Amino acid sequence: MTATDGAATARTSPPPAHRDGAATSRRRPRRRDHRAYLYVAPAFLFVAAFVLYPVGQAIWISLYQWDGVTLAKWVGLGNYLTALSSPALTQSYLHVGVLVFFYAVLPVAVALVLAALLQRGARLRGVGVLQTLIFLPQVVAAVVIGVIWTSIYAPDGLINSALRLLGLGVVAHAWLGDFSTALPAVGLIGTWVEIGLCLVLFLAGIAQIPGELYEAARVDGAGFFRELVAVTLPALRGPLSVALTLTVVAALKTFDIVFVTTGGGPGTSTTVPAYQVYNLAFNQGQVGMATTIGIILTVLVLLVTLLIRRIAPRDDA
Amino acid sequence: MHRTRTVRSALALAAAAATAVLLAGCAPGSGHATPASSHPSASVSTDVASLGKVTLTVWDQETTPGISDSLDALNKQFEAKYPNVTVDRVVRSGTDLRTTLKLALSSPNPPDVIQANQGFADMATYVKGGLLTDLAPYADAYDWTSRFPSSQLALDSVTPDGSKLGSGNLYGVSITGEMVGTFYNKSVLDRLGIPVPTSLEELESDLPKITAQGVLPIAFGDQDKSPAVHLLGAVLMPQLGQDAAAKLVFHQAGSFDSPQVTQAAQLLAGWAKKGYVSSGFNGISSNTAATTFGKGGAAFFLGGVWNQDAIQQAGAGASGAGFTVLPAKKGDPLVAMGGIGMGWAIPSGSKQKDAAAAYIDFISDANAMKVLEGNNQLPAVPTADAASQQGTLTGDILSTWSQLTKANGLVPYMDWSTPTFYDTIVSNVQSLMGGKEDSGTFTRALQTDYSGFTGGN
Repeated sequence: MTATDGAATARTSPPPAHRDGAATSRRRPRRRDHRAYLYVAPAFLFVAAFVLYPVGQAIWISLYQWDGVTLAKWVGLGNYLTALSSPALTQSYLHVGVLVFFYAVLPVAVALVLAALLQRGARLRGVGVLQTLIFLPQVVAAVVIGVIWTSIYAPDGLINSALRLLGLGVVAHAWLGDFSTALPAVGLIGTWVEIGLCLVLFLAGIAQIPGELYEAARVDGAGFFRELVAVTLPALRGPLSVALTLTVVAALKTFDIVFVTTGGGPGTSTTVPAYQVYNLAFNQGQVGMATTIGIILTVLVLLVTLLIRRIAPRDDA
Repeated sequence: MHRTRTVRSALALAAAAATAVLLAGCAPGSGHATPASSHPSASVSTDVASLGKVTLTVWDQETTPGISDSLDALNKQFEAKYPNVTVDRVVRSGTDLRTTLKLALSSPNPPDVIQANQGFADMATYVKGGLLTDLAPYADAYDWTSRFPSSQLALDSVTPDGSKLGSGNLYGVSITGEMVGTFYNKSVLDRLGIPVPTSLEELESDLPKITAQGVLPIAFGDQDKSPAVHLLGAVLMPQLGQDAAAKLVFHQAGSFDSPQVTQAAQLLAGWAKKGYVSSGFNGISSNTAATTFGKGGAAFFLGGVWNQDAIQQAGAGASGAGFTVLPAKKGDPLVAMGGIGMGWAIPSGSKQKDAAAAYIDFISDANAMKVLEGNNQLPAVPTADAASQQGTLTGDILSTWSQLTKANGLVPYMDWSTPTFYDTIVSNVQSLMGGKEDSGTFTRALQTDYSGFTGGN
């Protein structure tokens, strides 16, 4: 009954007399206009057909044990229990946690420092070229990156040759073939790729900061780090949340680099969930299990994205 | 009124989600109609000319030039022999074929001839789903049983419920062969004054002599993981013997927690520890290892015949390297892990089964084997006398394959045992040789996977 009352008053009363009700009437259409649905319909149908329906289907399949051909067997939440308890699978979530450090935390930190440095030396010649070079890995296909780095990490590759040249031949070894170095080695490829993206985002953010702020800071005697903490960082909350979202999602979804460089090896030291999805579905014929991990990965990505959005300034989010 | 709206949108969302799930429907796999029939046409006919106008759709994954050229040539010959037949060849890479085949086979209009990958994840699953035609009547009509050795036909056989490999009905015919053996670099062995070994025992006793002279004995790269299966097979299978090895792989008898497996595991761990194989092997690709060997950087390379090209290109040329299969002890019967190319099969839904069978017969007969040989492929049943190629690597491979076929010494790849066995073997061999686990942990891990699988159900 409040609903009809409110609607009636909102419609009949003159606006000035109803200032306190303005907020409510703005949030709610004065009259339910069914034509509005027509405008939304095309977009909704598209999303429904290409996002909602497949997601529903995936959830459905994840409740079955299915080889992709013959009649599936209902297992309820059984796949989810296995996915969260089997050591082989839980191990891959840990690996992806390590990768988040290399794909997101490290590049963001490095890019922040680089951005601050570049901001100071903005009038240097060739800064544009430098920026382009640093961004380049973003443009190169992941498979190409994987192949290049495989040869860089190889026993006779660039890194080991350089080490031997420096007389550090003892340190040289098969970086991707060693149980203790394979995962960080894969992670550093991610760092290399993501720095460029973060840097471009941060530089764009810094360009928005009024120069007077820096001048004021310098007049007050702020050094490089003081300037970074007091002026640059607070202004970069927006770009920072975007950079973190993109890089963390990239880390969680990692597949191509692992597939090309190590295939999850040596042993199982570099397996990641997305690789398990592929392997289970296409090599082992466990489509239900693969879909389950896919769903878990999706939920994980959504949760992490929501958390990161909290960094963003309110109106920017 | 605010609350009503929230409830409304929540209800709408729930409804949308529910509809999505309902639309997604009943149990996966129940959607497609029960396949036409996994039996051949009512009465088998080998008279293709009388079939009228026929278009045969053939899906294969032979993208490498040598075999692809062979198939193109054979398709032309087949069309010339039967002017009423048109062959529509569709080539996809192995991975593409694998991912789309399941969908294609269960569609109402599948291809007429396909290549099915043997093993539980592919061929056995198709058979279980009733998607492939039992070829037995055609095998009788075309006398395939005398064309191919029984150890080869067993590799393309599955029980109708898809639970066992190596027995049951014939669902495919393979036209090429492959095997794992020992490549030796002739000039390196000459320089070291070591004769070509004739048994695994001799090979083992050669290894310390080779390191003593500062040469790498075995080039090995396991970054791509599959070499793990081949190396383990090369040292394990001869110890087991063909019969026991085949029974083990086909899940008929035996165990991976056996003295032979333990011994093989200790051997490999020892090779890695003593530096008999390339250092950093887990970070070296198989191709790099083959190249190192071909260049003369190592005395031996244990691997499959598909490495021939890389070895020759690297500098060994046509006759710089030799190939052999080593028995456990000198004079023991030859045993090698290997197999045959993917099985050419007829989907149940094909409407041209007689023509499809005639096509499979045509690409696997003596003439086809000659075409394959002409393109430097290893045919399932060699025809040419290897003598003409004597002294070359190709000659070695052809004659070894002939001996192996005659001795019925072929053992299927170990990873066929269970759908997850490939991953189990490769990751555990990497751990074993990387010094991360001992032979006890290794054999237990293999046996746990092996015994946990009770057939394709």
